[in-house]
Amino acid sequence: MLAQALAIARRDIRSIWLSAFGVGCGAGFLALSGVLLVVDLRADQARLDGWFSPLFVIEALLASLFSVRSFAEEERTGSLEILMTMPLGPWRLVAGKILGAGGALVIALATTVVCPLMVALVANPDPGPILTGYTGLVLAGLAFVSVGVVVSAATDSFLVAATGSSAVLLALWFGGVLAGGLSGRLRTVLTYLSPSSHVTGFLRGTLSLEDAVYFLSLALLGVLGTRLVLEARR
Amino acid sequence: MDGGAEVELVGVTRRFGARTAVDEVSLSAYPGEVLGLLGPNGAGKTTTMRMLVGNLRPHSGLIRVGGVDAAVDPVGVRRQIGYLPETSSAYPEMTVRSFLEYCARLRRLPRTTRGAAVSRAMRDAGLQGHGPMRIGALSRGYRQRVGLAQALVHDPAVLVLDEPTAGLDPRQRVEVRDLVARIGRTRTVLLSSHLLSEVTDLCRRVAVLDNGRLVALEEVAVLTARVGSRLELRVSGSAQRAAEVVAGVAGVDAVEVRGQVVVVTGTARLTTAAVAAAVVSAGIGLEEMRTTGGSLEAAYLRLVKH
Repeated sequence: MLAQALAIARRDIRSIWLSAFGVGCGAGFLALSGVLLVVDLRADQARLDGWFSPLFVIEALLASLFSVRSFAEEERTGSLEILMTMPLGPWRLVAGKILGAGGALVIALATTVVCPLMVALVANPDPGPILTGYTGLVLAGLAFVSVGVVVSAATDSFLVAATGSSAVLLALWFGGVLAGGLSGRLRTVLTYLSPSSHVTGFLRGTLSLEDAVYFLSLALLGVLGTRLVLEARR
Repeated sequence: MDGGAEVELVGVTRRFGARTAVDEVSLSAYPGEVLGLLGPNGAGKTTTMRMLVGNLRPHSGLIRVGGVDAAVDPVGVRRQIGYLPETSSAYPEMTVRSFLEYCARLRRLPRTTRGAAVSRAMRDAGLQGHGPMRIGALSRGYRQRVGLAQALVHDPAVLVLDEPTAGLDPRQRVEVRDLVARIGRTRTVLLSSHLLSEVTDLCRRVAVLDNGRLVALEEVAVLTARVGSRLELRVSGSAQRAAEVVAGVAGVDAVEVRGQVVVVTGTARLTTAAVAAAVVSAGIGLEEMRTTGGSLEAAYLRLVKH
């Protein structure tokens, strides 16, 4: 049952982190996190909300890159055909793939813990927003990866999958930013659909059920979408 | 439905857009049988195999494996099948053993028997001693063996092999052929190959597909007999006299003289021994005799138009 999904996830995590691609992406992510920290600390305050905020956007890009390997890369190399003939239902396959890309992303996020730790060495930052910030990053990461896995399942091109999922996530993100200049129902819809509207609470140190439900719903939509794409492929 | 069949396809059709890749194909395969699947590129062999293993869903028709309907229980069907795809590719960063253990885990083999199952599959596929090697570092032939081992790891009742010897050197081909022959004694094997000699060696029956349609499902012997036999004799004496003598041999339909060569065509009853005996007993020197027809190749070329 769950063991099959976990076996797929474990293999995918190892595959990402034992490759030059995964290590390069992870190193790039950590380096950017460091740069963002330096920029954020120029305000001379031990607050990290200005660091977490852009980290969500970079996380979306990293999620796109990691989720590409879930289906598109396997399709390109031919290993997907063997995987698809294994006696496991589509839900387990999808769950394994999302957990795999999500797990790899969580490892990348874990490496950035060094940033708040460094701040804690020289100042006394409020731990609340740090904890909620990471909770938000994990929830958002799961949602971003799910969207990436849908796109990855729909193509065998690494480039199309990576740019496609990045485009979808950035469109959702900046749709919310653009909504500020609109009015009426469209503004309400675009604002709600944008992840940018749902990270503010995490940055301020509060956990909102609405925000958690938003990210979990996006993840669930990703699961359903991937299931549909896989069915359509058959 | 055919009671004793392990694999049954009944009126299976699959389209890709406007193109019908597999058109109303019906066939059965039995335990202890290696059924050859022949046809030119694009004939529908791989599509048929992909439908059988559950990678593609037929638009109409019925697929049953071990009595399980693929439309009702696709996972139950996949559990009984081992599949070696045409473009088999295992994960290059994994070692042979860890990949096979991964496959065994996905095949839900119990933890207690998993190690033994992996060792057996490695032995059967000729991978002893290669367990710790990275798949990406193996030659193409050995990677093909890894593909074969993953198809065998759960000891399936049905094995579907799409071009299993493609890209192998002659020695590896013989080894894989022997392995398939051994497996085929107790299990049902569906084998697609462009190598007709391989199919002749391994299969008692063949299904020939052309343009998505099943154009023959026969025993190899019946197919070749239908084509008839063709012999070429090079004689040292009078070719005309040799032709007259050979014309009286049982099973001969026609005789043609081309210089010192006598071309004989006939039915499946025509034997080289009878022809040779007739020529020699007439006091004519027989320098060379060879069979140029009555082969699976001749039957195939007659059946396949595209």
